Amino acid sequence: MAKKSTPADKAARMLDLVPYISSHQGISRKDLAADFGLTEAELLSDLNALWMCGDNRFDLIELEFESGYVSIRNAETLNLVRSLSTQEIISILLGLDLIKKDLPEVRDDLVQVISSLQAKLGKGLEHTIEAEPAVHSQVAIRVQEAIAQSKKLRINYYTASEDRVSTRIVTPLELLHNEGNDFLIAFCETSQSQRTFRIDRIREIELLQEQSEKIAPKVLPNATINTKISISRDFRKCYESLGVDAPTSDSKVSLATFSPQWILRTVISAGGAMTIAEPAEVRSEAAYRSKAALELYG
Amino acid sequence: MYFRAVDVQQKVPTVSRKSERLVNLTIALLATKKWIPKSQIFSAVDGYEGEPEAMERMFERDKDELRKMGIVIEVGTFDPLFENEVGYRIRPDSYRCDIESLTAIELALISQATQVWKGAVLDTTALSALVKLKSLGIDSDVDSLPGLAPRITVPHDDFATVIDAISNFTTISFTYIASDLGRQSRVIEPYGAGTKGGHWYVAGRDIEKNELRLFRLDRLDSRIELQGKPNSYDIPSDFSMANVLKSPEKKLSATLKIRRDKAHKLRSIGRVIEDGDEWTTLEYPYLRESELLEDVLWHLDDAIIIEPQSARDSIQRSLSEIVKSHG
Repeated sequence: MAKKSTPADKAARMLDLVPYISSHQGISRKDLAADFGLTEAELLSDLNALWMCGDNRFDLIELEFESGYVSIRNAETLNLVRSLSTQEIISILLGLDLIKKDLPEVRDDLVQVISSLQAKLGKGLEHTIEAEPAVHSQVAIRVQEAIAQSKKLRINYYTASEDRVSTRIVTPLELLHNEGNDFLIAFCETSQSQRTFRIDRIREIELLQEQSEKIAPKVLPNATINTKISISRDFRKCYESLGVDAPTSDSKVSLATFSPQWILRTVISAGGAMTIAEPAEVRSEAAYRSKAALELYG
Repeated sequence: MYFRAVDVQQKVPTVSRKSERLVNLTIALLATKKWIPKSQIFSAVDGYEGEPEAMERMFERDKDELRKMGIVIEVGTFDPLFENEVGYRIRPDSYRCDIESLTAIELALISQATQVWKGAVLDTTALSALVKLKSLGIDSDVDSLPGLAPRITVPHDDFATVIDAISNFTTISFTYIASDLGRQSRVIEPYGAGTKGGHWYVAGRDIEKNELRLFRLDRLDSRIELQGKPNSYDIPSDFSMANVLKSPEKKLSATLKIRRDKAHKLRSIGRVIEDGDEWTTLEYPYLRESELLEDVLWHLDDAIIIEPQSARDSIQRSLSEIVKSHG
């Protein structure tokens, strides 16, 4: 683990090791290292530094760790649990807020427990933060279970770019995180091919008892369709909806995508702010579909 | 075996010198009930060596480091007869965590809360908080928690700076991308931070505009810089990030027609008024006309606006423009 550790970080850990070992006398070096997020070598370096410390007019801290198990004596002065820093409090508050919003309905009883815990730790700071889960974790948990137990899943999935809802039986292969979204890579029995599903678009999920075969995920070809789009107004919004970093000037975007349907709908929902220059088929479909929509207004 | 002072003499301390000095200084300042003057610190605490000025500088830096770690060092006059010599100490009561007890379930929840940061910023911060709370000597009751795997949207690279600024009431500055892509320099007193819809936000008082403003962190075109001194403002007591991020209630309502087995998203949000053979009529809540148009346009010729008339007119203008520009 290549962790940047300043002398102050190390000192802070040494101070925190004292009450931790005191309340966990005889803990194994391995467990202690894991609890502090350190390698055993890093922990040994901290322990070696710590047993050199003490008030030299009196005694030094007595630390035993040669045997592989760690115990401490003569550290009364430092045997105090340090108060949490504001950063630490905020990191916990954010985590608790996520859990609170992500609890399965049957565990509503925990909402009150978390709220009072947030107030107890936060002392007013709980009002300065607000977190929303990135993924509905109950879906992610089902997926992880299915992968671990080699089971199939039945999912009800919404494909926004095609405006389609479908029920499929899939063999989950892996769970991936990319640019703020979680994806399930799975072999879809319905289409007999490997597909990628966005976790937040899975509307229902059910773990099936049927055992799945081992299938290795394949690397899918990269985006294949090259598009050119020009933007005439609402610049920031258009760049964001295309998922492109906003430049300082220039209103033409070249973009490679899997889905011509997605480009078509993104451009049309911009209400005239974007125009497809290429490819020609998508451009003419945009003209055709918006004309058809216009005709509905009679 | 326990190591004794004699063993220590034989060890060659080099790498850890500074961290050991910081720990020894903490022990000395915690152990004392009286103020300790610098002269006594230099003679009693291991690690202070060299010229007096060098030790002075070392001590000043060490004090800063301990304060950054959240340790409060008090400064007081040692004796009225020696007015110019000040003394230092750390009160055990301010050093010690004032949370005396947590229930087993609370500790289990805190454990879960730290998992959220695995591999993301604040990973080590959350872990050190957990380690401290576990030192209170409480057993954690993980078994009574439901299966949880909450994941936080990966924050902006400088998110730790934002949290630092909020914690210490320090002004921050950054460059923000405006809706016309113009770059604006902003200086704000940050009050809070949070996520919504997959984006991170910071809210605070924009000093130039003298107003509470909300900024999306992925619209920053620069690093976030700390400006000036800590404790330079107060967060209003009625501030709530949850309120700032709360979506306004969709008070307006439109009547839409959607094609059978199409426009699934509109159908899941709206309320069916009439279900016909080919078209379904929906009542659809919305906040702004621009958002209504976007939602309906996404569904191409599978959804149309019946009412209000103004939105019906706008969408026809948009469609005409699209037909023309793609012709």
